[in-house]
Amino acid sequence: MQRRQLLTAAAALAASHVVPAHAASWPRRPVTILVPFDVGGSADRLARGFAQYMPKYLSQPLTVVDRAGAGGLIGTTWFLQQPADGYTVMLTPATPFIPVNILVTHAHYTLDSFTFVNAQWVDYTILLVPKDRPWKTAAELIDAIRAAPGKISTGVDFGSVGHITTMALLDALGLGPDAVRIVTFDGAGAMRTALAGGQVDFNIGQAEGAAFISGFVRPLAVFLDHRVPDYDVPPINDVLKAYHVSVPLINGSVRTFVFPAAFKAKHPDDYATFVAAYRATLDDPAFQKWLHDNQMAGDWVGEERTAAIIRANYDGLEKYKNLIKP
Amino acid sequence: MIDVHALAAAVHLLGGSWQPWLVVLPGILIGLAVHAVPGLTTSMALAICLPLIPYMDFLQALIFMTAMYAGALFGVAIPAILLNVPGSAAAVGTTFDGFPMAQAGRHNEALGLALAASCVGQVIAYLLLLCLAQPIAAFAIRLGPPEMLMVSLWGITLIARLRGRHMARGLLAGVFGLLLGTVGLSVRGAARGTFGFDLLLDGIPTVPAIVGLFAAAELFNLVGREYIVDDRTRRQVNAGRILAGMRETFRHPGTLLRGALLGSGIGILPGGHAIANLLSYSEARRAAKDPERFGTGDPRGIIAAESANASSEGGSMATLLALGIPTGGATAVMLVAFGMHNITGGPAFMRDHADIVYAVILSSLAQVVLLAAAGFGFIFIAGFVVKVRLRLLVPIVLALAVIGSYALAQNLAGPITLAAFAVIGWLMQRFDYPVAAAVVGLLLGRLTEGALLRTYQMSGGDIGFLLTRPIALAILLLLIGSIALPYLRRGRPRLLEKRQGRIV
Repeated sequence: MQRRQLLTAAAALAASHVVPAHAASWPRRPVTILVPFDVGGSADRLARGFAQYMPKYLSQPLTVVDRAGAGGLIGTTWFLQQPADGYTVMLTPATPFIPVNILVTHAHYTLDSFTFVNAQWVDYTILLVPKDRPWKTAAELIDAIRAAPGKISTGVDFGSVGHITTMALLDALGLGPDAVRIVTFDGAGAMRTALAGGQVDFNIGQAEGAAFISGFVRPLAVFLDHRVPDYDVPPINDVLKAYHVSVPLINGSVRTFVFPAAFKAKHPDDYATFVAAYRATLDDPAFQKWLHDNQMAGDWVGEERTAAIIRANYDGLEKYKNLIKP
Repeated sequence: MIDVHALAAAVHLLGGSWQPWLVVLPGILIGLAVHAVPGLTTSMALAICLPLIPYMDFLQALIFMTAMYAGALFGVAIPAILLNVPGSAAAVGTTFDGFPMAQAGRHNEALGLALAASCVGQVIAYLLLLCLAQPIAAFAIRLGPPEMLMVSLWGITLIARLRGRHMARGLLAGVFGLLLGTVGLSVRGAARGTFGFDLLLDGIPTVPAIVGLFAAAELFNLVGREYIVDDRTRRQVNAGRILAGMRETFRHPGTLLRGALLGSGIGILPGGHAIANLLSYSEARRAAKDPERFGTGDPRGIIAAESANASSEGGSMATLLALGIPTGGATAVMLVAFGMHNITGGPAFMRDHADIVYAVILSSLAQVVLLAAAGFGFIFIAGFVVKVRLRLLVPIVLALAVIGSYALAQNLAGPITLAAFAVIGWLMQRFDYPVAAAVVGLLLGRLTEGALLRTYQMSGGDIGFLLTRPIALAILLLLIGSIALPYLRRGRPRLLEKRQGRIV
């Protein structure tokens, strides 16, 4: 692999000599957006939006490449094998997937391998039950679980924030992992279909992803420290006050552009060029309208705050990873 | 069950303007072409076409996507028949009798049979959808892991029917396939059989493995020969014979109808359409008086597999249109397109937009007619493959298959899998182990395991839980009946069997 990288680097060097001196230093050729998930997912759709609106500000086309597999591990590994020259940038729900890759699937990278540009679209977690179930509040559900341990079932997408939060909630309430029947699904889509069909009794999962089943389910609590306009339900820790416990609030999908750490270290000017083009794209009213039409967010929180969000989520996941050991 | 007002509005929507119809033919042709290349998938093609969607009005976009879908449903059959290359799991059953027919010089008829069976399957599925969209959808959403478990167990019994000449070798091949199906991360997060390779965490990529097992192994066997079809006089593309094949389809109404109904039923299950063709094939073989003819180029095999494959997508369209819930990759992409037009799915969709739902179903029915014509033209051209010398064809097909497997896996896991399974497939054929049994095991192993695990988790280990799932119980009884029936019928005179099963 090293030899191939050397060859690629040599070829890049050779190519750089023939480029006219007046051309911008970066980017001189199209930039690839790598999405380590399948076509049609949230990161892929967002990437295609950037491919449409960002070339105006970057002066180069952007192409989207999807390399799915093993919860983002395969695409992310490939991404780190590419030259750290900025011509490959990753767009991904960085947490929970990168921490889960590291903590559970034993990936060969760490959080320090990456520069996270901006957590532009962050999802939160919500507690849902199918409409035909009797529980009207989170407290009613908790009491039902306590009254009959091992009878009520929950659907989880294995290794997701929702899964870990479920286990942390049981742990906080002093209930063992066998207090509910945990049904593991391949992916959140299959789990939501099962929840809508009443195959399982409740689910703790991502709020916005669940929008399409909102007609079939009843929200009971949000895993935030405040109420939200979309769902008229209390924050979970307000509910848990009656039980004198609390749960950690781990963010759901944090979608951000990601570079290898080496790119920013070696080419700070090129990195700045990208960030400027990216911010200009976010400020473009046409792009903001596109995001709104597609029910996505495009907030600017900056690199420092993004790093803090991701670190906090990582720590939360690390603390509870033993709860989801296979 | 039909909302007459909405139906009238739908007719008005469709008839009022010619513009929605402009996209039908391109859609069908894209669908056909995409699936004629092994490795490209419908959801991939739909996703690539997504940027076009905002430029169409909503109805036009839906018609465009369903047209692609219709073309793709039949497109997979073409390489399956001509080259023994199933482009997806949905075409595996078609290869069993399709390729032997092509080798015998009856490629024209085989393609015609597949086209007609596919069209009839789609018509039946959409007619059911037209009359019963809401009840089907309401029913579909109630089906879960226990029902899926029973259906996939039913699928696994097919292994015993594909055993070839030796029972023990057939079972061994099937178990080998099931074992391969368990490679990768389990749904409980345990990595199994990966030997430390990250690329295997998602399991063995099924399509490259199937292409390797079926196609490459078969193509190696052909190396000594000049053409796919030995007989020189039969090595031609003949419109009359394609038509004869299409007519032949209607001479087996029982097989056709059983396939379409089985497909519609199984397609309702999430992920069910991958096994509909196999179950239908298995049932057609079981019901036949002369099951030994299956696998040697029997038209009923193609009819059973293709009609079920075509109708199986109806169920997934039902949940999408009536509930806004996708059960497969292609319908998930369609839901994204809904979002682009600010239409959110959910139970309100059918209530608020019944006219659009009916318009989509009616246009899908009309598309079938166009598919029959476009498909006819397409197979007429594709059929010329039989005129290509094998020493040119084999390397070209193998190269395309390798590229396709790379496109699908997006990394070298695809081509490596294909190469490894080509060797395994060749060895299996060399020593008379039925490759098809291993493929069925590979396809169903993971599905069955996931369904079994979830059923166990849901029940908390209580066997009485099954009593609360009447549909799962019913499928289980059907399964037991399907196994026991041939033994009960054994006493019947053999003379009858000889007279049936005449083929062209």
